[in-house]
Amino acid sequence: MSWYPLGRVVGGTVFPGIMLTAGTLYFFLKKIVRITVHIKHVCVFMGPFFASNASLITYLFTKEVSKDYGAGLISAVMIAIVPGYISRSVAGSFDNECIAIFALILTYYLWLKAVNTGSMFYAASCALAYLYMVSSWGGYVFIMNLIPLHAFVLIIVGRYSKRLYVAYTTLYILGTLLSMQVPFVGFQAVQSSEHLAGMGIFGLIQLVAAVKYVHSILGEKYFKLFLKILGFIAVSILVLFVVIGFATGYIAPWTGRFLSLLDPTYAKKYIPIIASVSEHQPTAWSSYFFDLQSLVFLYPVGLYYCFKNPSDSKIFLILYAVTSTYFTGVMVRLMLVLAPICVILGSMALSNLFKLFAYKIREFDEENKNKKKSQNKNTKKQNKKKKKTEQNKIFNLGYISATLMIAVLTAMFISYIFHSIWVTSEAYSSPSIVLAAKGYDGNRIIFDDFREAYYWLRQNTAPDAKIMSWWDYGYQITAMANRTVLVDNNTWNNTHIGTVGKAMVKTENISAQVMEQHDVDYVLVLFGGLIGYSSDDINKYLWLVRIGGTVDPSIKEEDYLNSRKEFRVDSQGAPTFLNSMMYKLCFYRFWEVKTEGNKPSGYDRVRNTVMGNQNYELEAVEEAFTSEHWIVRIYKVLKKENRK
Amino acid sequence: MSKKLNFLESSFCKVLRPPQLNLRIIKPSSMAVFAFVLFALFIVFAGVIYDLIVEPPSIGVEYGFGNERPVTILKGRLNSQYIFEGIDGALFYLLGSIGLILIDQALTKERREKYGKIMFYTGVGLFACSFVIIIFFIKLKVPGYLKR
Repeated sequence: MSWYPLGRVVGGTVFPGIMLTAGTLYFFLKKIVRITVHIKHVCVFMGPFFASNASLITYLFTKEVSKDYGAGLISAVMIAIVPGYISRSVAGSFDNECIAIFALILTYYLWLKAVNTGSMFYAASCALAYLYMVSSWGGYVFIMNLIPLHAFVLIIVGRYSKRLYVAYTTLYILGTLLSMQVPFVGFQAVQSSEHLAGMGIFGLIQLVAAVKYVHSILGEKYFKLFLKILGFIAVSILVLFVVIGFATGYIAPWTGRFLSLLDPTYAKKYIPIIASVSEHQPTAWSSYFFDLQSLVFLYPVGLYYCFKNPSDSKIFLILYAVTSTYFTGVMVRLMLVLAPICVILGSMALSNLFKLFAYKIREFDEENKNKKKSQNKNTKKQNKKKKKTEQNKIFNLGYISATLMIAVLTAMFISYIFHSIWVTSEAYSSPSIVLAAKGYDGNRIIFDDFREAYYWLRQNTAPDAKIMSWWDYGYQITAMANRTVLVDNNTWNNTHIGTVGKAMVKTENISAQVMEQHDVDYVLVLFGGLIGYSSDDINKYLWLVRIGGTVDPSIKEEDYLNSRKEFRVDSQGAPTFLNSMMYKLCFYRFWEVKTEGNKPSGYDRVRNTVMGNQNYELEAVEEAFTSEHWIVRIYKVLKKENRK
Repeated sequence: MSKKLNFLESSFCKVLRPPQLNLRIIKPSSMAVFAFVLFALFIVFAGVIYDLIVEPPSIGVEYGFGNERPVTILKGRLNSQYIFEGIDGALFYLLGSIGLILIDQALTKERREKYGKIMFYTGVGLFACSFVIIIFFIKLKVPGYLKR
């Protein structure tokens, strides 16, 4: 159990798509195909399975947009290994994004098919794919705003047609009704501001269709009058609807996570939990090259081709590209959404460039054949033609230059493959439950402290013991130690997390009161000072202060920094910090340990200083377990004595 | 109905006089919009949003033997940058793309032969040099790039 003592309604706070998919695959394999697999293997390999499905769908998508088989094949190869997508779909990563990107590309493919053909069948299948997307990831809001934006831009640019009307109307009605079947979404589909764009464009497209119909019946004179009356009525109804909706509070305004995408400074000021996750940091320039390599160069070239020969689908690609680039700039985690569109545009560009040079080579070969057949026949005519068109002609690339350019582009493609393989093996496939490092003589040292500590908890504590730790380790404790936790990674209740933060950063007396209120039996902290593990709780300490400060206004960040505004662990650190519960728990008995030969005992290898507050006693807790390399430390909360 | 609307309009015009506006609907050409999109891409690739939120220094400083030397590239960590470094990187990304666009323009449009040659060779040079420079920057930033 988690979120003690509140509990959590799992059905209404979780997207069921990935669990349903894993269960369906397991059922299919066990009962219909009659192969015995464990559900664990199905879950582990779902990421790669759906990534290969995404590769197939990207081939169809690119072929649909560019009518070019070559571009489709290149895009299928590129999305199979693009590091931005691989980072979230390695084997063993069982998270919403595994199936969400496949559902995203499938929905967009069916939408473009529906707009290009105007058939209600494709629009209805798009609604079904949209249901699958809604059930898998919170990012479905991106689809529900991009498709109305695309319809709006098509109307503005003058590409409105009956196909667009049929596609959008069918998709909006069926899609909204279906998305309301998912318990997490429910009536948010018509109530929250994030879905308002779809409704607005739905109304607008009905108006545009009605106006065009009336235009075809009435003459010019009466049509202008009709437009004036209709415009007046429509604008007044819209204003009334918006004002009443927002005033009565029926339409909820933009909330936390999505508002922080539109206004990046919002999370930093008001919601520290969202700002503290390292994946939610904005993107620096090098992450783009690291996650996309050659595609950052080919991506604007693909945009250039879309602008050169625009069509309905290419306008969609331009909108998708621009919006997803902005969102990726705000949050590094959304590189996942940028990767498919980069691949599609990049492969279109690469295919067109290849074709330019390949046609030159083919022209050269055909010229040779023609020269051998008719050497003297048409020379006079050719001379006359040459004189006339001497001024303006297409640059005639030589045979060798064209071959060299094809070799250069192929070399770029090959370097993309090497880069992707290196990035995947070095950065995106290390397990985070077992740490590895190279020793001074090159051999590998394994740190298995996490599993050691969780299994100690599992075997040496009462089955109904409650563990208090920071929310990063909640899922791991619930799964491996099989114990109840106070907060876990779902972070749906910021106040509860703030209370845990307060218990960690205040002094021992106040912390003991909070722990007694919540029935806590054990406290778990992470400490990396012995081996130099830099993702421990002391490095996260300031985030605990900020999040605890949202619950208790007396916790201020400047109290925990010294007079020079630095966060220090040694004797020059702030006294509030050196007397806080988390410091005492992490550094207890560390003054007895010599970590490096030429440094005094108690030398912290992460912060590179000696610890400040030494030789203290713990009154409210006692030490229960410290793992082999001091990474995980568990303390038992002592019960208060009976009154005498 | 039209009489009622005309009456409404004329009565409105007697009280307030609407100004003489010469509004035109501006329809930019697709290449103008593309240039604007490239500029927006430059801003995002340069990590301007990262600069706004995290507020890094514009260049780094290296201390050695009594003097201070400026350092352009933040070494070691991947998702962090100095302000100048971001603009540098985005510049080379865009120059590489513009090189490829120049190649395409040189080979598909009819123009005088001299200009076709200049465009093609400039494009090839821009693209090749930008690619090599970006890989050099990344090797500075992530030590051990493409090594086991």
